[in-house]
Amino acid sequence: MSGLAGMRCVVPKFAQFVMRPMALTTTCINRKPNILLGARRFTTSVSTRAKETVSIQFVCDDGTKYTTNAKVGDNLLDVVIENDIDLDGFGACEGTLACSTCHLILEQSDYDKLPQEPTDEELDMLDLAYGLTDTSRLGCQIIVSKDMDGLVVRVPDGVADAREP
Amino acid sequence: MNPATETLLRRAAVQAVSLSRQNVRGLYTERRLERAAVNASVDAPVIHATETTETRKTINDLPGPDGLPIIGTALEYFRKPNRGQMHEVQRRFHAKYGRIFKEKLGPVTNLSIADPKLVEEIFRHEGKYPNRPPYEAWTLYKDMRNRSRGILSAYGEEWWKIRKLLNHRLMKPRTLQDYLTDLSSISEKLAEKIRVVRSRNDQDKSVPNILNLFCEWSIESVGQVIIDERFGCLEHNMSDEMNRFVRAIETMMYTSHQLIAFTDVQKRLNTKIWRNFVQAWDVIIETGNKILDAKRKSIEERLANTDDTGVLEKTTLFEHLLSSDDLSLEEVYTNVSELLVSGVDTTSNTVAVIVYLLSRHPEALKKLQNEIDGLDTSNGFTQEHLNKMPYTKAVVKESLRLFPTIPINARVLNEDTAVAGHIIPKNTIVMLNAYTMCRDPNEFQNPDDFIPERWLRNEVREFSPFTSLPFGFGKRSCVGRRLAETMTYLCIANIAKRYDLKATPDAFDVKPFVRTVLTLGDNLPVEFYDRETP
Repeated sequence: MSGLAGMRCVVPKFAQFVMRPMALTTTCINRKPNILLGARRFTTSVSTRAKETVSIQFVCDDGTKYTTNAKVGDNLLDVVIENDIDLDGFGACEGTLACSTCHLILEQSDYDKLPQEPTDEELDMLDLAYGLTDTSRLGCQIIVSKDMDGLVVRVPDGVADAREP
Repeated sequence: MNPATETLLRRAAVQAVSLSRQNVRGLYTERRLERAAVNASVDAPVIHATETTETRKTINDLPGPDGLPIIGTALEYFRKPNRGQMHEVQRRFHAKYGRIFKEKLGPVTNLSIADPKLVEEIFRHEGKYPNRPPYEAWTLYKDMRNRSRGILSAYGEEWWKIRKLLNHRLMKPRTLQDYLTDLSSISEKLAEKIRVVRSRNDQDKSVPNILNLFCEWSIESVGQVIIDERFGCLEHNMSDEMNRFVRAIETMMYTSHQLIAFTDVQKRLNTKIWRNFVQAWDVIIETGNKILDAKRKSIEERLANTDDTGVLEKTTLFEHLLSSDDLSLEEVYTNVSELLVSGVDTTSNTVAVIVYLLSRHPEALKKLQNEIDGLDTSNGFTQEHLNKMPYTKAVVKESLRLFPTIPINARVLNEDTAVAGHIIPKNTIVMLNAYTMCRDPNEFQNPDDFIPERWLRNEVREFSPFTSLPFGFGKRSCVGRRLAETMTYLCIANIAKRYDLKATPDAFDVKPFVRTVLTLGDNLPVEFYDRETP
């Protein structure tokens, strides 16, 4: 997840398009040959430096607790994914601020300590969160910092499926 | 009063309002839902209901217009006064049959919803691959020309494959920051060109065919972000080729909407509408291919001149897609063209609506101008400026509430689903009638009035946030949202910075109509007066 965030692209891929004419009504070329890429395919966008981790606990409304190793610099949605926590429907839009399924509730004091206030875009999505509170945030917008060690966040039931009785 | 007390009082006020409103509005929704809940099925997923096995109501038990045998209500939309007025026809049906009704259109039965609570439930349960019904005309055309579906009409895994790639370049909050300077300068150019085009009019200070100007601005902006190309539409008169391209987009959007019912019949009969539609798409694809071929060539040249490090420092969305293993070249071309197509008519009409509304509401324009004048934007707009423009953003939200660019959103149900106690079969199209909800007096006080203040964060909000969702919500919401919003803020700010907008002396009330997007037409009864430079 976090690895994909880097935005550079692999060049050798272009090689295969060189000199290839493009007909007006292109028939679908489903798979591009990968032979040209082979060993030369690599990306350099992700730093391989090991990241410092802190402990963050996610508490679900049914009482289940998950303690995670959260990498400093990741966001809380990354943390949920990297720690393989199975929260149904959590982070549906993959951190692009298009939904509110990574809704988390913080203690007032923790909420006040967060370095960044929610942006207008986050507030617009929070409006649509199920069971919104005054200390709600979207997990994808909270960046883990060193001083968050021991942080406890609540995962509200909202994303749970109302189809179940 | 200290701010904390004030917040508390305000919150209490919101609760009181929402409680009292539940009592009024709830009469309809709550009770109906409770009643319906009793009848829900065991097997189907239940929306808004607890399940029992008493009876199984189906979609057929819902109210709705009878229509004619076989064709259903289709003729209603073809009647002259209703052409391009689908949003109004649907609104009238809602007034007659309530917040949820069924409608037979030819061989299919659709569901229409204008209840924010049900809309919320639909959005919350749309699953892994939410599906929006494509225009049948688009898929028929693409099959005919043997092309892939593209982001707009693809579904399931194929859709997600494309969406994922686009998300990282278009939807992440900070991804557009690199383009702000460019986008800001394109909006400045538009504002300057308004002066030029205005001078061609010796009657008054309005701008002839202003929508065309907005289209030039939008294609310039979208082109900049997607393929890093300036088409030069705003520099001088648009080249014939680009002009043809923009006209083709317009025709394609217009005819797609006309082909909404009995598409395959119209195709088989080869009606004039179908022929125009095909011709328009052909122009779009031909021009798109030409632009992208040229772009690809320049990328190749650029690559030939860079060191063979394997990595390009700054890549465009086009390059990003080209380098993906998951898309064929044809898919890359199709998707980039579709992004261009979908970015043009939507944003230009949104801006037109806002300009129109501001010309009719000088007090709102004044507030917006005060907000912009308070910022030092002599070197263009930055992210910091955008963060300090709450009133401008409220104006945009309120304009989109009154005239939602996409007045009717839709979903296809991926499985049998109980909606309000009725089992709705899989693959049913559910129309989410934004236009009807946005003007619902039970949701909005003075629903037909332009009151941007209702969107300010320090105001008490009484309406459901699920009424007005101009970009949709969730995984399948508008992929260009971030870009469209940024473009719109920059455009409005740059216009308001330079001009006072006034209604023309012979001001006419606009009559919006739908051609896929809601439009006010090519001309606006708006005059642009130069402001004194502060």
